[in-house]
Amino acid sequence: MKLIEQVTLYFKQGNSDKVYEVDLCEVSAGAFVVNFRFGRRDGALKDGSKTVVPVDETKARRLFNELIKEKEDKGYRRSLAEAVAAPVASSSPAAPAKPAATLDLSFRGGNLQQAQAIVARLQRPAKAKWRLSRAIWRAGEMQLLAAADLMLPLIGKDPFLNYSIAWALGRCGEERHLPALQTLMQSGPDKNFDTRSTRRAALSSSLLISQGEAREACRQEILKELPQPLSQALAAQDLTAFARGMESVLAEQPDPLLVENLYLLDEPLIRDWLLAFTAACPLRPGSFHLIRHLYKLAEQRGDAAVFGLIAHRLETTPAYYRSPSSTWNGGFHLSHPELGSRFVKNAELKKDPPPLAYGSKTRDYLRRRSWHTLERLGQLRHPDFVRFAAATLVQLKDDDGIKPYCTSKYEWTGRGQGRNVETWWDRYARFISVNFLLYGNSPRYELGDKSKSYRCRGGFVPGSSPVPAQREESFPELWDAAPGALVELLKRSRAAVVHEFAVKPLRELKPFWSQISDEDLESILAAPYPVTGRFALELALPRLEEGFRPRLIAGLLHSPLAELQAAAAQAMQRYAAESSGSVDLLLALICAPADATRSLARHFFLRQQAQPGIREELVRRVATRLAAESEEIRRQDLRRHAVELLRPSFPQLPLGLVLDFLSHPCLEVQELAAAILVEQDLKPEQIPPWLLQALLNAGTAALRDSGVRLLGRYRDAELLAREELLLALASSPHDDLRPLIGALLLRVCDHSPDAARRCCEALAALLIRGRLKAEVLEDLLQLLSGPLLPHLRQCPPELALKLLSVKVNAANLVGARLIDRLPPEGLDALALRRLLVNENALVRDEARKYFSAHSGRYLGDLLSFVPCLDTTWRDSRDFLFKIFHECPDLSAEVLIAICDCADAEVQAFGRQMLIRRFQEGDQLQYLLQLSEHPSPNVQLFTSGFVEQAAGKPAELRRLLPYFASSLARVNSARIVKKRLLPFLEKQALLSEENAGILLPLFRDHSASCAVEMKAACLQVLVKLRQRWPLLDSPVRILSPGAVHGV
Amino acid sequence: MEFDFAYRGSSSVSSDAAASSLSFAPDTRRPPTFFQGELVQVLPFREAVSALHSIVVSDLRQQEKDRSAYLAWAAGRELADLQEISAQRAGVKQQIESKRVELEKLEKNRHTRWLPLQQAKQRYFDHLRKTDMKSWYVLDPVISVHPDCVFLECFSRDESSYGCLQVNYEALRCTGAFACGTTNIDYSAELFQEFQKLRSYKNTRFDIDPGGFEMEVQNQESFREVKIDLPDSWVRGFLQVSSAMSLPMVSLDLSPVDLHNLCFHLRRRKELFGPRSLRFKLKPGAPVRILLEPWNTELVCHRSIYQGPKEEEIRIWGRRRLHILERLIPIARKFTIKLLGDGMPSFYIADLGDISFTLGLSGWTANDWSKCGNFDLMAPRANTDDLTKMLVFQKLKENWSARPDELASRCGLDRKTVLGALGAWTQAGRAVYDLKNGLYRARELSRDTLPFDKLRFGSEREAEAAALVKARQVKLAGQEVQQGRKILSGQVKDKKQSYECRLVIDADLALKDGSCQCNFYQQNRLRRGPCAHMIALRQLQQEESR
Repeated sequence: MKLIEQVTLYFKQGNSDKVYEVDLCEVSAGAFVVNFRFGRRDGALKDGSKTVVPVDETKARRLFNELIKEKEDKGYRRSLAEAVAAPVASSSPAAPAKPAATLDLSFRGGNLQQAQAIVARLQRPAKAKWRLSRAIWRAGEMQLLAAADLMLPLIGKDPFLNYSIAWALGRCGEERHLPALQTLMQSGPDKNFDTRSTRRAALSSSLLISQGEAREACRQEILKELPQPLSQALAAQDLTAFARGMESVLAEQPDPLLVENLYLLDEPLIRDWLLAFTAACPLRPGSFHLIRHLYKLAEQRGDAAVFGLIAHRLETTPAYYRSPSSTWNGGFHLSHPELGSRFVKNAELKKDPPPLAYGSKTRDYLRRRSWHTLERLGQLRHPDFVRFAAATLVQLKDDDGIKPYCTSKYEWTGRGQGRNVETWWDRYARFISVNFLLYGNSPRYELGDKSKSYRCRGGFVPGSSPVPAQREESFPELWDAAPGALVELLKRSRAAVVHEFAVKPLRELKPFWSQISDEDLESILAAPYPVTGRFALELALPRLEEGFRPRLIAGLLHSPLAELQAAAAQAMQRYAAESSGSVDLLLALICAPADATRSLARHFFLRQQAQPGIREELVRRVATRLAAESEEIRRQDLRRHAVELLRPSFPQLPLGLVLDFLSHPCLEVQELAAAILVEQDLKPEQIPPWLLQALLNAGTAALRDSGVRLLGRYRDAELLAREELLLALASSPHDDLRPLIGALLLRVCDHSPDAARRCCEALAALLIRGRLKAEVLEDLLQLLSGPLLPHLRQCPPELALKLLSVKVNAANLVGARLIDRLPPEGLDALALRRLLVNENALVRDEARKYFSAHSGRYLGDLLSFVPCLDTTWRDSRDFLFKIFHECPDLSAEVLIAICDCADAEVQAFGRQMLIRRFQEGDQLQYLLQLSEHPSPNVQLFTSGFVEQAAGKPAELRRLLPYFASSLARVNSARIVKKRLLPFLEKQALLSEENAGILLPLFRDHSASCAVEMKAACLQVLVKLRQRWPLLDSPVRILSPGAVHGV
Repeated sequence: MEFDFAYRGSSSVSSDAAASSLSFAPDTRRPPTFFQGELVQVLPFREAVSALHSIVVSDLRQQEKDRSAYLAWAAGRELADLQEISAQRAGVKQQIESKRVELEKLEKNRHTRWLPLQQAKQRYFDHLRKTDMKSWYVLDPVISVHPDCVFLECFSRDESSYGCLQVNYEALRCTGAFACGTTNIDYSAELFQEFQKLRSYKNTRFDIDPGGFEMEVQNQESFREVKIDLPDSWVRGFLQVSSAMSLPMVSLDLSPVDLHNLCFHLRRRKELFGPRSLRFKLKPGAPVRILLEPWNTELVCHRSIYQGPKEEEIRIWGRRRLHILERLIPIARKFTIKLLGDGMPSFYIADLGDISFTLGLSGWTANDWSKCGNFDLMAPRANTDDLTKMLVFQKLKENWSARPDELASRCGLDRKTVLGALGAWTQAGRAVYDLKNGLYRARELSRDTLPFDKLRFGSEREAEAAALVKARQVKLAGQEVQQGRKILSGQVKDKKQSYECRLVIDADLALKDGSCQCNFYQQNRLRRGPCAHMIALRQLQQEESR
């Protein structure tokens, strides 16, 4: 089949964008056909044919031409350009449009044809394919003034039409349309449509088109509906009261229209509050409707900031729940992390407020709506496009992006074969509005399936493929017409992609460059993106060539890019003299955060300081900047850097400035003041005492440090007068302060012996009291046992005694160094005993030395030192072992006391000593007293003395617990038992009295399951029964019965 | 659960050749409770207080063996073996051997060089352990001063043993002022060492220091704040055991030598496998017989005749805790044993004349999951309203102690209501049942009210299980015994879903295995203990068997 002729026709009107292709083909010689294809442009076309069977050429040509004409009559044109420019063809020539001259066809967006078409549609309200409400809406979008009057007769015909008119009148109406809006505001309820929307749209429109008194009346109406605290706060223009009122109102189920009403008031006072609310209001049931209302109002009112903010929030906030793809049984099943798993009925969703909001479908719809709004504004060439687009783009942040990723899909190519198709998705793929704006004409991105995200195309791989040099944004001509918006974007945006986009058109707009002010360029220079930085540098360098431009140098200084910083260094070098006279530039130099600029600043200030006239101003500006900085770490950093750079100029600053700074609420400003104060050449008498006191008691180390430095300026004699202050500060809870004060105290002590004594006594008293933090005690200990020790040694001996007598380790440690200064009567045994077991080796050491030196005093009272033997400190224990060992006459009490100690080693030592110092006459005492010892070892040892009780009923009775305890040891103490049983048997058989005393022992243990014990006890019991038949014994002796042998 | 105390100074026992003095530092944050007196029966007191100390430090839970050193060595050895094998192949065995010897020598040298440091470190840790003994104990003993006696109570670290030392005023002569109440006393290891130095030939003072409540004076030690963070299970265990005391129990008397024989058998042999129980075979008018498993040794206590009304056989576990009583054997006149039932708490009251010592043992030594769901001692006994409870408590606090009948007549309530209220106060830790004298005593375990709701159940699953049993959602389908193990099966209905459960209970009545169809079991098996359904089945079986 040979193509003889082909015509392509285009039709473009409103949403309609169609194509119609007609072919004339020769099937065979003399046989022709006319085929056609039609459908949406860029879409799949439908095929058709005018010839069922081939016809001859003439007929075919006729059919071909007829078809073309028919289509052209309907508005199709031979080229796309023609189709776009073609006036709307009227399908019905009987209804000509009203002469345009009678109407004001002024509009803000769109073109004349579109305006005419709308007017024509509104003039023919009969049912047609292009719905009337769409035409009205479009009139609103275009802000077509002529349409407003045409809408008025349509009011009341249809609820949705009413709503559209209410909305559109706000955009294209004038004050004279207010009565119509009033009518709309009173529209009654309708079963198919929520007329509250109409009333809200009408109210908003009224405020938009009214002026003067009418507007004020409208506002008053709204104000009346606000809760009282809010209306009062607004009347008083008190933002704090308003914010407080809002907090309490929002906490308790607020009126759903509250935020909307506040927005409608258009009150400059609360504009920032509203923006912050919009940015923070959670997108979830209970609050989402507030944002949704704001979003629609922002569209109507052309409020780009609110629109951009909400559009960005919709892009970045996930849906609250996943909307169901279909419902069954009048609802759907929901599985939600907060709401759990449950069945949601459709009827539930219609409740007010609904239990669910911001589902995935709502979110997708609103995201698409943002995109379409922007697209329509662009198509209409509306002046608002750039504002809305810039407001949307400025919200994008670098952090919003994700890591590019790749998906792969297996695609069948037919005949049982297929291939893997990889698709890349870039960082901001899911931001459809942003992608539309930035990459509407891009060769590398395209809208993905379902219009939910943008994917890469043409083999573009994010991060590795080269970025095309051409411009990629939608509606480039609109951007070209508004270069100011591009500059604003460069100043405010914190997204690299936005900068990459904005720089491209600006590079082309060379004539506009000169209109960019130094102030703007300063901000652009500071941007952290190389593409912006380089562009700005290109602009800045020629200007710097022309002369000294402090703002530009400041911008360069704040840039994080090395080449810009280098340019700044060059400029500073070139204009060194001028720079030192510019407060702005010097401030920028100080505040620049990069290492390179910091180094530059150091070199600059090293060579030349700020000119005398501006020093004070510079320091003031630094203080202001410090106070404005929000992060504490950055404030501290800036304060340190500023002090380092400006220190040489501090001495010349007036004292008044410093005092001002000291009363500043910002801590870092106070610290700056303290640093200045220290550098000033102040005589001690010039320092106000209150200032000194305030600095020493300040909350930060830097302030306290300057306080101590100022205090250090006093001469020794003057310091002496402040002895009490110094003593109080010596135990200050601030760790940084105490060592500094210690040095000053030493000066005082060196100056006056009397003061030294007083100070040492006071500090020692603190130690003795011991109720201070461990760190404070440690510092006092270091001070007293270090530099102040010579002075301490001059104190009365009673002080040493006190230090050694208390139960405070630090005091004992200091006391140990004064042990040779003790008064003649010395330490009593109790105090020395405690020192001997002190946990500090030094104290124990000194105590032992003291004991040795005064042994005569203590050897007579060794019993007092026996408890010390139980100490775990090996040194003191060994020392005491030696003392006891060498002592020739140890009394029985001492020996028994040593055995009574808890430690097994000491008990063993005691037993040894007892054997060595054994006194014949004390044996019974040993027995009776050691028998009460609970330890098995001592019990065994004691059993050696048991014969001392032989034949002594009284002693036997006293020893009964010992016997019982030894015999009752479970599965142990075999030797003691073996030793005691014969002794006890012997004693029991000795006399009836003894038998009576000891019989319970045998009786009890005769029931033991230990065979040896049981047998021995039974034997004794039998013997006792035989010997003393009258004794109350459990044993009965039975005479053996007759034994019958085999 | 955090307990805060503030002591002024420390408790101390000082002794010289002629006198000893026990001075306890009370918790100054509690209402003033003090006592000054002189100890008359010193040796029984010393032995009893030593037994109390063994409860405080007792921890008989099975300790996991630390095998890390062996495993590290084995891993190193494995490497060496592998090297050896490869070396043999490569023909360099000798070289490696010489190097290995050299390496060993170097390691030995290193050990020698590091030894002083290690020893010093060990000494330092020992010192820390000694000086900071607080961290090794759980809760300081509670001391109560009542008009008729002073008593000290404590609970062991392993949450299984309760001790109460009650000293009448015949053994502890009051010589000064005293104020009734309850307080915690500062307690340390040194104190135990010092107790050992008590002797009858020294005058011994016993003070709960009234100075502790005076304002601080200068140049003296300040108040010492002690914070102890106790596990909830510990407090729950304490309350469980003390509330078990007020339940009706089987009572029997053992002569000291019988307890000696029991301890003797336990000391002589070590069981390698279960069951590890004591079976008390009680027949009215016959000697008490105690069967020691698994050896099946029967101990006939000829001097201890059971006086109870009917024949019983009760099994108890955790028998090695009875060694705590060993020190009391020579001084005790008799031991009264109170048994609640199989695997339930048991109590041993040592009669030392004017001093009595009560040892309470929980059902098992370890309160791990295998014992889950055995009994619920914290279940409310009767529904008593708050006002009635307050009334009963106020009346009890008037005299500090009272019998239930006496309280009932004073409050004008019936005995059952009073018992219900007293049971609730016992579970809340604000009253305690005096087993020896059969009366209730007011004793506030802690300064602040204990969160009873938190302590009611050991875990959330136990609470769920109790709710299921209460709602009659549990059905016990079968019980069979296979190879000495009892296998329970049943259904538990939970939220419209029915689960099949199976439990395996061993000869020691511990839950050894089980299964359930629920999600918790599918996810965790028994690693985190049995699921609520298994516990519920066990609880039902316990209830039915009772």
